[in-house]
Amino acid sequence: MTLDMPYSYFSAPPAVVRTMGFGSDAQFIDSRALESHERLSHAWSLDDGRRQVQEALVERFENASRPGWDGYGAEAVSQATYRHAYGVVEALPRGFPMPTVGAEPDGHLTLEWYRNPSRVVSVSVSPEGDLHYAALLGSAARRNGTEPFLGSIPADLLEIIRRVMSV
Amino acid sequence: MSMAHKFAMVGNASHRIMHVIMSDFAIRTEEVFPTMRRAPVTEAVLELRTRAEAPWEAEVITKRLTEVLPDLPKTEPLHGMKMPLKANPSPLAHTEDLGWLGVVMRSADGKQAATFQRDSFGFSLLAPYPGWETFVERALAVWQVHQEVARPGELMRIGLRFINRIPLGQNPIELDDYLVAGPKALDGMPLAGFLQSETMTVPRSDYQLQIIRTIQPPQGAYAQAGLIIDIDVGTTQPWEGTAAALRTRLQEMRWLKNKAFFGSLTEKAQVLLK
Repeated sequence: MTLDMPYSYFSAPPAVVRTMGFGSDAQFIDSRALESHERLSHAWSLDDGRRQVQEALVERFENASRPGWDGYGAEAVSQATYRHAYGVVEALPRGFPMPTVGAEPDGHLTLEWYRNPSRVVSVSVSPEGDLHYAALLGSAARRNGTEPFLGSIPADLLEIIRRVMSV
Repeated sequence: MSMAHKFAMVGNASHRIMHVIMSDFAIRTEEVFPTMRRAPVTEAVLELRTRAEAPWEAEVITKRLTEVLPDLPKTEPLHGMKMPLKANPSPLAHTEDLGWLGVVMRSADGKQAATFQRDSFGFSLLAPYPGWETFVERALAVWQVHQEVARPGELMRIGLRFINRIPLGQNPIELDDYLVAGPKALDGMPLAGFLQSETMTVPRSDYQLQIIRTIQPPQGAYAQAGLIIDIDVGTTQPWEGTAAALRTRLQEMRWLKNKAFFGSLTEKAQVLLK
């Protein structure tokens, strides 16, 4: 049997996305799979930094969930925005570099991967589940765009983050 | 092993990825698989993740869907629920309604269900499985309705999931009679349960395959324990194409699903299902 597994997070595939199911068997399987996944992800020794990002996300959301949270009339961060941002963090491949978290005056949450001043990508998560991103990939190259978040991180965006964070 | 293996370097020079490629692997949709009189499919699902470009308004969408899908008369709204912020929230933390997300429509007998959401469409058919053609024709017909109502953009993911449940006899159950690569117990310690999950990439394609195998104890309508083989074939890249091209993709995904199913079962188990 051959294991064709990526040897570093730079080549890690996105987290596996599951197709929905309706019946009682689907519910049984999904709950068993979730239980198994949670058992692994809740083990401190196996945490890849995701837990800390999720805690930071909770804190950011709690601090920015009321209008004017910045003292200058900022829009509140909504539950929907928080859910999408949480989903993005959950969907990062295991072992992938984790972002830092921020909030913006327009009510978006931001996830930022920073390597140095000329290699950085910032993803702004909207209440609609749009991912607006802007990246510096060295002194000359820039990328930006918008992708929907439908449960998995768009491959193009994941590739940009890999490029920013690669040596 | 008859398949020739070779190593190939792919990716750019800065971060090359070593992949093991089975050089003679190819999707062969013309391959014929054994026919089973007792197909163990308990659920077949087609899910398409894509964002609606039409305004996603509860009243308008629900009214239109109920008009054009009279054979799915049981309609329930889907609502978002507040997400807990703490690791162990109180049950009340789950109860805040965050608004309308879409609608679930079911047939009168409950055997067919379709979900219409701004970001996804799903069609599910529960046992008894009527065969691929019936399933796919029905799923695509309902998808066409979603296309008319939601005007979705490109498909971010196509998912085809088949859940199979094979009834097992009385204890002791010999899993090696059923599974080619089942779980192994340690000497002197009988296996009381298991959950196997495997993810596979498909060479030269954007398909990914996940197989979950587990045991389900007797429960609900099931008097016997069952061996579950859950096969989920999905795409990993955004895709846009014609209805005919989507059918071609689904044929490929069906082949992968069949390959995974028959590749999981021993000949003895296959005979039991014929």
